[in-house]
Amino acid sequence: MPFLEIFFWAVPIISLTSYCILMLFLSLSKKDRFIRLFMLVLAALIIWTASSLFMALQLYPGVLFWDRVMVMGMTAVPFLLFYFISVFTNSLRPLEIIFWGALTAVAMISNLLGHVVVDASVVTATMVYYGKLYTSPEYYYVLGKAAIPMYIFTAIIIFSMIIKARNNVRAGKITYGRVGPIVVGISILFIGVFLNLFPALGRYPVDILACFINAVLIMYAIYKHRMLELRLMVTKGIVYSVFAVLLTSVYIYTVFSLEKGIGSAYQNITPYFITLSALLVAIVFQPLYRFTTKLVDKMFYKAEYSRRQALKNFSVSISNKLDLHDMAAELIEAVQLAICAKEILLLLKHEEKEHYYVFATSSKIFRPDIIIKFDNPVVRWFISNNVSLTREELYYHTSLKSMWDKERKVIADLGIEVITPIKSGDDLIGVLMLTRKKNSTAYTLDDLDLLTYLGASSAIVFENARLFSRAQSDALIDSLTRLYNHRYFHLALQGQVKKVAGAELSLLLFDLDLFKLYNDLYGHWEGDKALEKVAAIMKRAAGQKGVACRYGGEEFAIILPYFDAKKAFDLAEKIRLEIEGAFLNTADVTQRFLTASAGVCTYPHAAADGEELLKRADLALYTAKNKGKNQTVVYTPHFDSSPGDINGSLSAGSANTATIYALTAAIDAKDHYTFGHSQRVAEYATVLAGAMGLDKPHLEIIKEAALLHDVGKIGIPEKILTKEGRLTDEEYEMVKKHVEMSITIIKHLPAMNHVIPAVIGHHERWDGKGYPRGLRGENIPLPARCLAVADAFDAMTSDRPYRAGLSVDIALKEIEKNMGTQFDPSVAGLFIKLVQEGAISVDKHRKMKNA
Amino acid sequence: MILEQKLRKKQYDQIWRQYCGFLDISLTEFMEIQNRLMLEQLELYADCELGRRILKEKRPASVSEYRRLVSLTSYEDYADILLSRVDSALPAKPVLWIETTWEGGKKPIKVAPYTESMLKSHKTNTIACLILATSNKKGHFTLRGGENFLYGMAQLPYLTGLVPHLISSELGVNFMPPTKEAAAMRFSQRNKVGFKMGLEKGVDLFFGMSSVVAKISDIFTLGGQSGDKLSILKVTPKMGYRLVKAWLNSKQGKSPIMPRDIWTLKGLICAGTDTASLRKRIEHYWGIRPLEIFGGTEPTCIATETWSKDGMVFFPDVCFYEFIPRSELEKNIDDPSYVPNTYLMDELVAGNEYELVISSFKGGAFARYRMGDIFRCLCLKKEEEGVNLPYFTYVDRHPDVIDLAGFTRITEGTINNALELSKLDIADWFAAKEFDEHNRAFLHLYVEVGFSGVQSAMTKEIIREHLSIYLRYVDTDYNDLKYLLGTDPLVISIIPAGTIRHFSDKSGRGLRKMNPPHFDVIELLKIARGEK
Repeated sequence: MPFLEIFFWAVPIISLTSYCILMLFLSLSKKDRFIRLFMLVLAALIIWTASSLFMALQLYPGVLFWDRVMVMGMTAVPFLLFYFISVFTNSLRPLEIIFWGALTAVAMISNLLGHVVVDASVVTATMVYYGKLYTSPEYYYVLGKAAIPMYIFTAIIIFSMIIKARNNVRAGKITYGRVGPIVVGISILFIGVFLNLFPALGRYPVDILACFINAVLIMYAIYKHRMLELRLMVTKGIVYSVFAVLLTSVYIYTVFSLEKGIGSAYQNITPYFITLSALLVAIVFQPLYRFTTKLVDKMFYKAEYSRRQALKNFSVSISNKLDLHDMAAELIEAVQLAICAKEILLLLKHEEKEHYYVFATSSKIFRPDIIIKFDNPVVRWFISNNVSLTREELYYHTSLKSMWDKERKVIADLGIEVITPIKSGDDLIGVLMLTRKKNSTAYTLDDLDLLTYLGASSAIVFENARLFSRAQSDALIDSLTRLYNHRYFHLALQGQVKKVAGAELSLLLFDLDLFKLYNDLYGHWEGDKALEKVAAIMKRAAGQKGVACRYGGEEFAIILPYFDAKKAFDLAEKIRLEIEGAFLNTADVTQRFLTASAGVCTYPHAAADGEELLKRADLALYTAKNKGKNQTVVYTPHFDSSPGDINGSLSAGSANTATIYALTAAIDAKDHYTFGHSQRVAEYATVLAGAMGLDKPHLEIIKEAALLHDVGKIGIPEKILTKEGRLTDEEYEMVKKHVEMSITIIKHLPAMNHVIPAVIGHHERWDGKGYPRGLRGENIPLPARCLAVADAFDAMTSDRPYRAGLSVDIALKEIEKNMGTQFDPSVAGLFIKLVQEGAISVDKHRKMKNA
Repeated sequence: MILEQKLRKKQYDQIWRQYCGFLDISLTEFMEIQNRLMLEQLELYADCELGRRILKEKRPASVSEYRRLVSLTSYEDYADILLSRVDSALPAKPVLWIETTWEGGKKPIKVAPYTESMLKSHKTNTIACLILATSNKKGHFTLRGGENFLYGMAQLPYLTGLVPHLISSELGVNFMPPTKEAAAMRFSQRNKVGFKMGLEKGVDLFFGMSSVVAKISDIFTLGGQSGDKLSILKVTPKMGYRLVKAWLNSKQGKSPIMPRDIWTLKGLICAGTDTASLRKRIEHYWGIRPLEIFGGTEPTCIATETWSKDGMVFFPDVCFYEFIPRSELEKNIDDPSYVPNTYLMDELVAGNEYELVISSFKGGAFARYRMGDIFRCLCLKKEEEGVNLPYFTYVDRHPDVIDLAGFTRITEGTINNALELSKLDIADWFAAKEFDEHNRAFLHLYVEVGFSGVQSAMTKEIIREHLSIYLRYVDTDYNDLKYLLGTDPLVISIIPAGTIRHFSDKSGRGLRKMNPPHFDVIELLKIARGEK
């Protein structure tokens, strides 16, 4: 039967070839302790299979000799393998080795003395198959007395080896992938040996078939699980050539065997068959050869192969990328390809927050919320060292001894095994963190070198990408408030309207009330600080729910997808109150005060598209302003019919006037001697300002400011206000406070906030010696300068508890005397002129007083 | 990878860097580690009851603020929480409580909590000591694993009992006697069994209290061996050869057999207050210079000598160290209300003596805790060794405490207690720690006999007998001292009644009861002798 013949010959040949190839690989590879030991195992396996083949070939000196040599190999394999596993799993016990070694030696000697195999021969059996006569070779052997103990001994040693391997896998000393295939292979091998004990099977080289399976499993362990780290010392060309020769031999032999077997049965088709089999070889050979070369690559150069691929891909792809996210993805992919870590985290530097944060990860579901602060010793270590750190090293570098337990815990909890710096010069741009490898093997020095190289080579590109990303965001981000800018607002509004697809979207528009005055009062530097403060409030309030933007100057907008009008109004009110609280609730009245008005409109209920939404929110804001500021107004359709709500504005105006007169009356009621003072100052100052060419709204402001300038006197004790005789220093200090008190009162009237600059400045002096802020020259708002002259003039000409009023001439002379020190020379000069010309009528007021 | 695997792979450089790398850092780096770990401890303190009490409900933002805010502490400040082992009140969860004697009978024990993190650094530092003990040159050491380790220290729950457990997880060494068996033995029995095993199998490493090592060496040298008979069958051929050789040499030279004739140690580690006075004798007996280390229940192992075995260096990551100069300490002893200034490691002056103050790291309990141990700063660095950190030598306990052999702490309270119980009519007394001609420390008690004593039979032998009994009664450590070292380290001198008062009148200040200054004692004895 041809099949049996092929089996008889081909199995030992293929097995022997496989082992020889493996041996060749190992001998060409850089050798370490493990490889050397494994070569011993392979040598024993080669002796076993070769002698089996020689036995079949009935080579000199004879079948019995080769059979005994085969038994020698068979006896040596379990012991050597046991030794290998012990060393490989770091569980070598010398006594154990001596014991099994001695027993193996005894078994070998018994074999050499002929106690195991007594006789052996190969006979050619003939049989009739479908009426034809076939021949096939078969073994015949006679076992001696020592055979049974030897088999038992073999079984025990294999069993101990399996137990040892299992214990080591359980103890975590080694992974199953690395020893499992070997253990399974050896088990199969010896099942084959034991099957030989049954004459029906023992006639055939079943053990050698098992040998072949074992060879395949060893290759699998090396190939798939990197059981041994093989690195060739010769060029790949040589390896490929050897392979080509070996494969060709195998195929030629296969073709001839087929030809011999089938050809003898079907002689008439022989020529066709030869052609066909040659073709078959040609077709099969090429892909098989390719497969083999790939196998070589993977077995010997697996790490390097992947690394080369990773580096090649990475250097090509990063050269034309500037997007930070793309770059991060490329880097992680390259690291993944080269190292095969389970998880990879890329942390990038956050300059403002002074930490490194997780920017990208290798998996979508694994994105831990961790940060590494700048003062973490790991960061400082990377700044002075340019190599990767392993988890173990975190515990033994002295400079890392200052790590906090919670800092170590973060790394331990994530199962981080390696941290690699991404450094550009001395600047640590980021770090890569890798968990254990997928195949659970340890990180090698080569891995660490490669990671360090990847980190270093990507640093500059990353830095560029980071700068580019910064520049990109800068184009859309307001540099002062770090909110999105006007340009982005329009893009976002259109985008979000589209995105919500008919669902609600609200727009909040904020405008800071009288911000220009704020700037005038405190200067632009303070104005900018106020804008930053307001922006921070907006950002916090919008959070992840909305998009906060600086729409323009002192206008802000928040786009709120999926917010109905009610929710939007509540949020707007929350923000408005927060702003009011942040600026109003300060003890020092000369400090900032600021309020905001808000307009709200909701799509699609009140607007058909983004453009309309903006217009109508703006209209609501305008209404809020007109209604007296510091309030939120939600757009409703009736706004369109009465734009600007003129009535509202008017009514607000009359309400203001009423408030002013009520307050003035209150002061007058308290301080009889100053009765009518506010009205007179208002009159003088308005005429003065008019003569200076100020427009009507300014005149109105000055009038209101004059009426309210002493409103703070409500808070001064009456006995001081009405004291006869000079005030003590303390009392004078108390009186001076009336300016601040005035502001305290006025700032609670948002509609009157515009008078504050004039009121707060009416006791400032041109030479900077005034109060409360000591402003000098033109830094004092013009209305305040007008008010100062008018106030002083009326005070001088009015009767006081401690003196009678001065005459107009003396008062004017006094003003003239103080021009350039107390008063603005041009304002005071004009005032004197106006009084002298009669444009400012003094007598009228005296009459009023007398009445 | 554990130490044993690294040793097997011959990664000696890496091992040295890992464990002894702290000897390569600069003083600035040392202080950076100190400051950062102190800040971590402050965070932990701020969130626990004990910490809040110590920090007075405040959160110091810096180490200097912490030092301004927190007063120096003693065990009394922690006793209520620690003695009742209230885990929840501590900065971090302890995994172990370590015990030690406090003040003899009055306050029997004190305990200290150990967190996991503390144990880790304690393990690393203990291994560093072991490596340095087997080293005589920077970067070179002979520790390889598998050594026979004669371990003559106390077992758990004492701090030294941790060492075998910690080392075993990193390195296979054969403790003699084996740790499990040793736990069931008394201190002296352990030493006997250990020595016997050492004679059979050899000794590579030895760790013991200096006083005990010296005493055992005396007995060994004078008596020929440790006492128990050897079982010949258990003696290894190598040890058999060495024993025979030593015996023949001894017969030939008519000199006693010394430990060094039998064993060639790789490393000998000593601890205890008497190390400085005993180390020469130990070196003579064992033929190897001992490595002195310093530790305590509260701080763990905090200092070790280097390969030169000539001065200790502090570990940077165990505790925050502050130092009270001797002058400040004296002021504080004379006026307990005086708050002494403390200085940091980078502010010390070489040649001066300092009392150590520690603050625990890694969730330990103690903050600005006065250890009561005095060190002398030998030098600020040793350029020839390439170490840029200060070197110290242990001087003694705080003068208020008389420490004998490293494991007894006799205080004024202990002596008063013994005196009361003895009913002896002692009118006044003072005590001093002194040394005999063999450099062995003893307690010298100077007494003035009271009125009834003058009239009755009160010889110094009678006083000594009485006091010795009662000291052993009130202080178990004192009892152990006698049991272990076989000596009663108590010497009595009777001085004329009224001498101490006379001294005070003359000098215008009181005499300290415990360890009065040396010259005060001389002046007082002059008065006692009637010299003018």
